[in-house]
Amino acid sequence: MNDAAEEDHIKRFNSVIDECQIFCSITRDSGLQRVACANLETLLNDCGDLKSEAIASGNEDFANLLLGFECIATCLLSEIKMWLLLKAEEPDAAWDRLITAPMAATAAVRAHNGFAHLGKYAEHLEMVEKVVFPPQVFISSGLIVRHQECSICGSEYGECEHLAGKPYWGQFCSIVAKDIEANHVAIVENPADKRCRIVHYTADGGERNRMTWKIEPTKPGNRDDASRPAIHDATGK
Amino acid sequence: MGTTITDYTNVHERANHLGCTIPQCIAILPTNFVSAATRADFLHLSEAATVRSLFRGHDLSMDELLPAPERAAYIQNNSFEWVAPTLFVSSCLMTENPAAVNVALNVLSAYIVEWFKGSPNTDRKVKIDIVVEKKGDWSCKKIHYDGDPSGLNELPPIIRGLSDE
Repeated sequence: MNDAAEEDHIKRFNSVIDECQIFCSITRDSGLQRVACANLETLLNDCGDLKSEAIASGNEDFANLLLGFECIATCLLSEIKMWLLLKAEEPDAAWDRLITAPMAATAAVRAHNGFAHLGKYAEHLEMVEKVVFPPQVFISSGLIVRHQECSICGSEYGECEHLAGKPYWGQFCSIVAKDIEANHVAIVENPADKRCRIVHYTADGGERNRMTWKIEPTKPGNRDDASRPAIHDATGK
Repeated sequence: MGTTITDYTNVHERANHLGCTIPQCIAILPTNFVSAATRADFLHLSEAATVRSLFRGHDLSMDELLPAPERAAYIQNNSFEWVAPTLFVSSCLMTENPAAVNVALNVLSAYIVEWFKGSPNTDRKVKIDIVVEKKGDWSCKKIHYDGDPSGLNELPPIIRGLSDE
């Protein structure tokens, strides 16, 4: 791919992002917000295809730039879906989207220097968290890991040259934990992932949802241990 | 936020007691170096592997406490802060190549700044312990730093002071 073709793609992606950013507000029409979501999903697919081309042609910088576009599209998609879910009275699902959005904005900044300005966006989402949602109780797990694998090359992490959090050929390096055992669970103020939180606790007549404050029927798995709070771990760890 | 200095166990004696290699330059100490019953119980923070790659990539010599092919397990604490592993700085290194400490902390600081790029400023916190061996009697002091990553660059004079004390 030549420079002019790269420029065209960048202009097109920037234009989609500018148009979709308009819908990051609760007052926007839900139908138009859903159209914006569909446009962002198309952008994500296009980025994925172009990234494969960039990798095949040995253009790591463009692959990382496309990774940044994927991150910002994910960020906007998450924020718009958060507003849609709030309008649909689904605050727990909206919270998960809220947390995904700044993580994606931060990742975009790390992916490529072209997205350095997005740091401010993460601050805006932090404000949304504080103003729109009630305070949450976060959980963090400690794990004993016998082997750490590099997500880029598959070798033992620490024995290769890749560094966690850095982009390589359109992918972030991360540590893949292998041979794991649980060590502890702690209540923390600043978890790595704010989706790991206490979602409800036992109350007279069922379980109180910490987000809606409604009493809901006790879920079958929680019935034997009345004092146990339910923990939502969206990471699947 | 800031720096505190406390006494630490004699690393030379403790490593010897556990049958470990005695570090002569920079080494990463396991989180349970002082309390582990045997060296097979050693646990490194997950970030220890990152520091190892980082230093190797900048040609900084590091000693491994465990004889090859032994390898310690890791403990992953899923917190937002970047908690660095405990670094050991030997008296030998401070005699022969004190500039290596400046390079190591610069490399670490630069990586952590990159790691936090895009995060709100209030979230950018690093915690690190540095154990410094005193020239002469090999006694050790621990510097605990908790704060902004850029503050790591202010630690080398403190390390030099403790080594020469």
